[in-house]
Amino acid sequence: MSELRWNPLLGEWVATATHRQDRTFLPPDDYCPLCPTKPGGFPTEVPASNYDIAVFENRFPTLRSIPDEPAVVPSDLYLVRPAQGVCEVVLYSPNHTSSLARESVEQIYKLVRVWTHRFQELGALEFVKFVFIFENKGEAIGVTLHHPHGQIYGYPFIPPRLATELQRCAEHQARSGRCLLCDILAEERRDAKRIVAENGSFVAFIPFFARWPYETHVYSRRHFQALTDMTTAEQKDLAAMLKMVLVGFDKLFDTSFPYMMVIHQRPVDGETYDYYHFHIEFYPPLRTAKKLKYLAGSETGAGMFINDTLPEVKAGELRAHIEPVSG
Amino acid sequence: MTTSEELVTRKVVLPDGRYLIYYTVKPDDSLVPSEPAQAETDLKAETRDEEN
Repeated sequence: MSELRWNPLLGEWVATATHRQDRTFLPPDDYCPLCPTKPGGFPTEVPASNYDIAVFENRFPTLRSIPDEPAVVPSDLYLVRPAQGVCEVVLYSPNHTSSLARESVEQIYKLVRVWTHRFQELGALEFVKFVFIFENKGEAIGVTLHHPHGQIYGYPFIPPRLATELQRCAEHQARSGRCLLCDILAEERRDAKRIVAENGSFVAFIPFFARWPYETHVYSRRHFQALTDMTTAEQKDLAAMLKMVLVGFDKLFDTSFPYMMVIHQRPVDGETYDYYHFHIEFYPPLRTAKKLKYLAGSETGAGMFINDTLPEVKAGELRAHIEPVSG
Repeated sequence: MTTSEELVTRKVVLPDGRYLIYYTVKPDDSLVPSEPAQAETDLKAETRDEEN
């Protein structure tokens, strides 16, 4: 059972997806549904093992290309629509014990290529308006399968967080004639205290306004809007930058660092978004090796984050664990 | 976008109707000869359906 219900108070859609209650939850390593099927073994989601990256439709999707009809009757106040869209799983490797941080720059580059291809393919679907590529990593984030993987949602609308960013960027452009993210990047580079890593095409930093202690943003130096706008050199530099940041994360507390990773790029609704700027954001939930940052009353009920740390200090800690990586 | 490597895809339909796509990034075929069947796919990085 899955449908989209309108929240008139916040002006946003909420998905119900009751079938997801039954999804596989932290299975033992030898019963991983994302590993290649072993000869004589139980059938997994992925029959073959000879691939670089694999992508498949989520078995427990929130959004479907051919959705169920809503089970409730809408009213003037409570709008309802089918949960149409796409939910894909992206396997980073056939190797169960790997992680994106442990993969080579070459393998991460292949992933960037696949992300680009998925953005093109899903962006061409009439009912998809925004392609959202992300990874939830670690049990602290609520991950139910440890096999290294990310996800892609093809939303039938521009999700609220992105709509706010787009609106702020459009307003800044109208006011100043400049890109807001280009200006943020220039400000961060001028200040320099929160810069974590740089290479020829990308800059990583913990922004002035970070909400999470180790919230790290990766901005492209060049102003462009989507994965499909990148040159091969930029794709390789992005892979190298992700490797640097992810290895730095793991070294911080000598652990496989949990995080949410999200890619923010232009919508695919046919409109022009020249004022927007491609970037990646990481939201790690750890504030120390053993303590989590929770989304409590202020964050969840009021929408105001309280960061118990200074971005300038945390950037210095992370920067100390960054080792140069070439694309 | 230009690239020296080709993205090769192989699309499979799973028993319950969902799709699964295997991706392989092949090195520049001017450096590493491709097999004939792959060369045809490499040109456009086409997706082809196969029965599972």
